[in-house]
Amino acid sequence: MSADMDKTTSQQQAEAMIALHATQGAQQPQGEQPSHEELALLLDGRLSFIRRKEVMSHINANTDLFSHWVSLVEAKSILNETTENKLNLLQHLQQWLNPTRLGFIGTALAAITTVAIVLPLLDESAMISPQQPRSTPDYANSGNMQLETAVQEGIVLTYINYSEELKQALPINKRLSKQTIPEPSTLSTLNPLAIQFGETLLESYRSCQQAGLKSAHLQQNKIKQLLIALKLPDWPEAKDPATYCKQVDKEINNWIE
Amino acid sequence: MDIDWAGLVLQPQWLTRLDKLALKRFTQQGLAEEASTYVLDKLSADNWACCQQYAGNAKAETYVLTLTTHLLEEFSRKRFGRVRPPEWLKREGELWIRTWKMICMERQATTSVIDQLTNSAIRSTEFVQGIITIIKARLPWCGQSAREIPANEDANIDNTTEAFHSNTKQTLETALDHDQLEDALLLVHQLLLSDDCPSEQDKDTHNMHYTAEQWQQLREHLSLDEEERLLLKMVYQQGLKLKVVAAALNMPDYQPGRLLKAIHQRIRDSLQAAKIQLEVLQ
Repeated sequence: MSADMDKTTSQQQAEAMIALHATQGAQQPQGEQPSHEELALLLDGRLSFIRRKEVMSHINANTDLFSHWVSLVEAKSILNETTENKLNLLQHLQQWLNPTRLGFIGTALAAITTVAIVLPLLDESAMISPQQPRSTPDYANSGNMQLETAVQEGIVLTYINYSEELKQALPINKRLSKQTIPEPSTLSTLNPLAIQFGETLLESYRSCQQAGLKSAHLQQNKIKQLLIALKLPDWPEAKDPATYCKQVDKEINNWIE
Repeated sequence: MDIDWAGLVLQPQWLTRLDKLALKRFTQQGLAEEASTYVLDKLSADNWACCQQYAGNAKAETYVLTLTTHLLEEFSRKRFGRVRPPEWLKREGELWIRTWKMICMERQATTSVIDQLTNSAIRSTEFVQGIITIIKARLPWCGQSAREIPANEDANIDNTTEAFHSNTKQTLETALDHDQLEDALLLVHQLLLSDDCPSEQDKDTHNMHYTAEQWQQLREHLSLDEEERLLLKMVYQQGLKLKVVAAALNMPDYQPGRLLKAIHQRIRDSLQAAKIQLEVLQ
């Protein structure tokens, strides 16, 4: 059927099918029916020799279990492939960045840096056209976006890293579990605002717990108070805590059921 | 065992994996998202009750992966129902049933089924294409009617083992009589010769009539241990690449090939002893 199926031939395929049919039902499954954990152990290669044989006997005898086993094998293969691809990319990059290329890249970078520093010093006025003033960032819009991102990341960060007690306080939200969740590798580089927000949430929760206040609404009020007190560095919207908290309140209502 | 299941399952890396697995399984984005949500709901239900059977022996990540793959299939059963495939299809093996389900029940496009089943190069495209061709040739109605059959109360993750148990007796064949010998050999015949247009008519034209005594001889002469049977099923029924099988059974990459070589020699010896010649099929 498939010529390149790991060099197996039709003859071998036929032999295997005959053999499987001939030996089907020759032996009864041995031992207890395997649990999910034992399937995981088999996949990880951590079952004892005897139990391994027993679990295999059940897999061979039970079509549902065999189907589950194959799905598991395929899932592992799919997930491993992603990891391997990332590793391969790094390996290719390492191979590409040999000492000769590194030397060349270093020289080029040094030259570019020199030009970038020296040119503005030579003629700063020439760099700015009188007709076209230096553009300023759109703080209003970018601020809102930053806020939204920060609030979402902050809640997620809190969920992931901060406290089991807080996870219980904020019920699992499907939207939260499926959207805007940063990769663990990016957590350390998260917006500082998000980290502050996460810490504030936790602090707020603890304060509410100590005061015997458990409802999400009261927690939100407390969070709002704490956010007002928060000094946000170099962020235009921070000068307007009311707007900030209104937005936060809206976001929290969106996220917390 | 005290594991922070929420922390493990809701971490971004795992959620990305879940979405990926669901998308590979169901292809359609909406259906995949529905499946992901179903898995998350089931896992987290009753304060992660389904994870509480974990005894701490396996890696927690692999354990969750085991539950996840099971729940994805459970979702499929609930969504599309659990209809029994034809007998001839069941004898071909699990991959055939799965392909039949994807094509005929879930009405997935042929290309996406091939894509899913050959993902990560775990098996060859030709292998899957061959199965689809045969299924479509033998079941012309396949995939033509919309079938969205909500399943009943079965397939709860809490009674997984019971579900497995219930099927054991049905799937075990205690013996193969003469008719079953015919079926088995017909199956091989179809496998080798009828890729173009297999049909029931092959039954009338094939020229392999062996006696029940020969079949019995083969059964007596040939024995396979459980690992060998699993190896044969994964390689020949599932069409999985040897590298994938090696990883699944925790063997070095070269080991499945060596084992297969030895197994084939034993099978050939047994066939010879029973005076069954497969060469006529080529």
